[in-house]
Amino acid sequence: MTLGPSRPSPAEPEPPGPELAGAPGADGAHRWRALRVFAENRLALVSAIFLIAVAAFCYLGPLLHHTDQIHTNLGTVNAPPGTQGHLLGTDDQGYDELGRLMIGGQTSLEVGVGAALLATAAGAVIGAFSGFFGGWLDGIVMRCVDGLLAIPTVFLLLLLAAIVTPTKLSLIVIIALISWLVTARLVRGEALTLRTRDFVSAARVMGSSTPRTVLRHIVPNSLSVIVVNATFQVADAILVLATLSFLGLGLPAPQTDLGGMLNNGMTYVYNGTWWVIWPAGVLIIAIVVAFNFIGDGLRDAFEVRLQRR
Amino acid sequence: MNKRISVIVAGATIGMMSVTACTGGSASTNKGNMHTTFATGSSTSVPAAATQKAVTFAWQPNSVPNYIFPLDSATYYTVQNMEQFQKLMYRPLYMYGVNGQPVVQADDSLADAPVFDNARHTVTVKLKDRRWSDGSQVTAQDIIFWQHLVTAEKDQWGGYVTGLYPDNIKSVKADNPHQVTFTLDGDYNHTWFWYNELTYITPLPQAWDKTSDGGAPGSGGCTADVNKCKAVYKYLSGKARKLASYASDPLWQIVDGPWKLKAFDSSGNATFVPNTAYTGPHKPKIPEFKAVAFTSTDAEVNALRSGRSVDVGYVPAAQASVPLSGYQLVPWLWWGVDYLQPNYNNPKVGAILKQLYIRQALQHVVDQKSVIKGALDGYGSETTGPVPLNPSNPYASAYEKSDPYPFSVADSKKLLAGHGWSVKPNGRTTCTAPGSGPGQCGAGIKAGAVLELNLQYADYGTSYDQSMNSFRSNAAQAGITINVQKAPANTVIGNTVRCQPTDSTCSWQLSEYGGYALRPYPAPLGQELSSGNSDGSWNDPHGDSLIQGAVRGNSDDGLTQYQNYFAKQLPLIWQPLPVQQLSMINTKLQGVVPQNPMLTLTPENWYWSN
Repeated sequence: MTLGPSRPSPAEPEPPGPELAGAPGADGAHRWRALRVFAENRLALVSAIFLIAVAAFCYLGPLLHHTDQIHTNLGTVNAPPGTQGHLLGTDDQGYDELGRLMIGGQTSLEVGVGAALLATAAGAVIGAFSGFFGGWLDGIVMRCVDGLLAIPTVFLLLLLAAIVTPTKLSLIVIIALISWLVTARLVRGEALTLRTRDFVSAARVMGSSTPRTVLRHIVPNSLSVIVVNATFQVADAILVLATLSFLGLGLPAPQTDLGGMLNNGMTYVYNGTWWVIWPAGVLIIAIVVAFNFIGDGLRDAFEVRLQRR
Repeated sequence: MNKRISVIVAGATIGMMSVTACTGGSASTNKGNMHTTFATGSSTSVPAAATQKAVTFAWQPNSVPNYIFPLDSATYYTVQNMEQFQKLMYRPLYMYGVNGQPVVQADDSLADAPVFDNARHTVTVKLKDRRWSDGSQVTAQDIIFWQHLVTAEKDQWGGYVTGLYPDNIKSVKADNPHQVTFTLDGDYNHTWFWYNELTYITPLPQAWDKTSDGGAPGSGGCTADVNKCKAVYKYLSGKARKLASYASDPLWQIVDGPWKLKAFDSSGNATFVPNTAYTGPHKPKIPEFKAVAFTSTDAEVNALRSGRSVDVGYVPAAQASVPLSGYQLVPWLWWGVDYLQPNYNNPKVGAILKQLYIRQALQHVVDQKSVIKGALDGYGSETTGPVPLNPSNPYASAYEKSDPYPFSVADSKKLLAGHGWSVKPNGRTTCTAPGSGPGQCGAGIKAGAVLELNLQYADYGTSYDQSMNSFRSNAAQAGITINVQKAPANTVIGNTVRCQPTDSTCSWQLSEYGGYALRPYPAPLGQELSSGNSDGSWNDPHGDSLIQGAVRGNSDDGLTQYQNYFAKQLPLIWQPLPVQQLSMINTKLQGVVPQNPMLTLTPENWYWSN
């Protein structure tokens, strides 16, 4: 790791700095080119459409498919699809499985996106300040990051989840606490490069304070890295939530998430009740893969050389 | 500390209503009350020894033995240590559990039925002719050695409850080498004293009465002088903490039971071989008995399904209906009760829980029948009071059997509405009539108080999730908000402590830690119901007097009054009781069924059919 100022290598692309901001129509053209490059990535495009469909299924579905997801019904546990109006059957509490997927999907999306946003924001700010200041402060922050990265994630999760009563908010915070590290490292690397650029020097000469310089010049110019990383963070957060729920440390009943549903279903893996396992499992995989494809698409979109084709 | 036993009990699965037909006889003694039973075992025709082979038994996950000395401190006071490990080697004065019944067993006991003298408050116990594996006889001195040791170290003993054994033994005297007489501090119910106190006593060999490895038998002096027992206990308990030497230490090889330990590791894997010098009946028929540990139920089930050599294992209730070739499924009923433990000293909801109508409202929303059918797949039994209803027994009263508080959301709502609560099904029910008069919420409950309770339950698997969520769901319909939270069993046990309202440990409100394993005579329900010991700080002088009546009165009436009172007062919210486990038994292995409701393992009765 470099503690002092560093210069960008010739191979690195020019960052879209504030030089472009003043050009009339430059922003619009830039966005259009980015969107065009993103759309050229068919997997990313399909993934985006798929995620919109999933969001519609989770949030609009309950308006069309009314089910009781609060009260259990032990008289109809693990009923097969088609039983008494249960299109996708029931689970081991007697909940309608289709309705359960909807509210489980809501939780997974909310916690995933919430944790990713929080982790990205925290990681970006910490990484940017660390990289901008450099020196001993950067050394201390990065050693802390290294130390935390060295602790097994599952151990940290178990510890935190055992201390805190799981709620959507607490899970968002817990997952964000272990997720900001990678973002911080990436943004810190960008900041080390950007801080030597002329536009940053110009801003400093004109009297820009340190916080303003970091938040108005360093962070915005690291946006491509941040946004791409955020999409991967969403996917990771959904998986982490699924892991926590699978370990029995997820949300208490009657709340659920896709990982909790999968955990319940695994109990019946030998019973032939596929409807309590496959839908939740497939949905987790599909959502995570979709976010990853979108991340790939965004990376392409922010890649300057691709935009200039 | 019996709670600790119970936790391990309600493990993976779910139960059934009764165990299969009895094969042995039973004989009533004329010493005690009408329930005093001294059952004999069964006689069987066993194929030739040449056809016999080793049997492998699977421990419950994370429930393995870790203490060999049969005077267990609270830390080691577990079913696995006492009933499934130590008793194979070191026999108590009286063995219990036969033919699926919670009664003392005649054949395997070391002594004949005790003789009570009410006038002198004495109990005389006559030993049978049994020998230790070193050739010495099991004598009255071995009983006195135990008695002195447990008296000197009663605070270290996990079974100790103030005022009961050994406090209630004024003296013990060897009448001759084969007979001892205990003098008690008063009258006790004969069956209770025999079944629940004399069954604690495990004669210890004189070779253990020493303070060093090189010491001569009896050199410790504990048998002769109780004041010398602390050093002997220190030596023996220290040796017992060295798990790696269990199978190699000559000390532990002196046994009077049918088995000797051949191998043992700290994971709990144990291999027993027959004690060739065993002088009791029912000598082992198989050449080796192996008990193996698994890290999880899934790992054990996978081993069963993969055809690895597990001869007696288990499956979770969720897989009870999935056929497993070569095995028969037998539910293992146990002698216990299950309940939610309320914390009457909780600063937030203690006043609410102290109201009888609140506890009645809570009991009314426990849908035991649906839980047994839907969550336990039929393998469970209802609990309606401190005496189990199953296995069928002569103790449960007609009142308990009548199910005093059957499932009824409507009755629950009616009780709340009739006591000043504004009932909001699936919402926040609040107290609108504070005060302690008729039709009011009750003492200590303020206007606007919300009927919301936190329930922490032990992670014993899917069936407990289903049961607790059913309770939460039904309670919500009656306007009672229950916030359920699952946690590892040890966490729940650790949190469920007796406390004062100002204590930081008093934040728990309702706890479900897996039930309570009873002694053979079902009274009292240990510390859970007595004012001085209840984990939930239940304070009830009248209940205490009924407990005393059940223990001391030598009639059935005391037990009936005790159970009826507590079934009505609901100091605990009764829950359906799952079976100990759904055993999967190799179809060619005989003698395993009926399984002992006291959870004692007796592999000496097992054998392979041709």
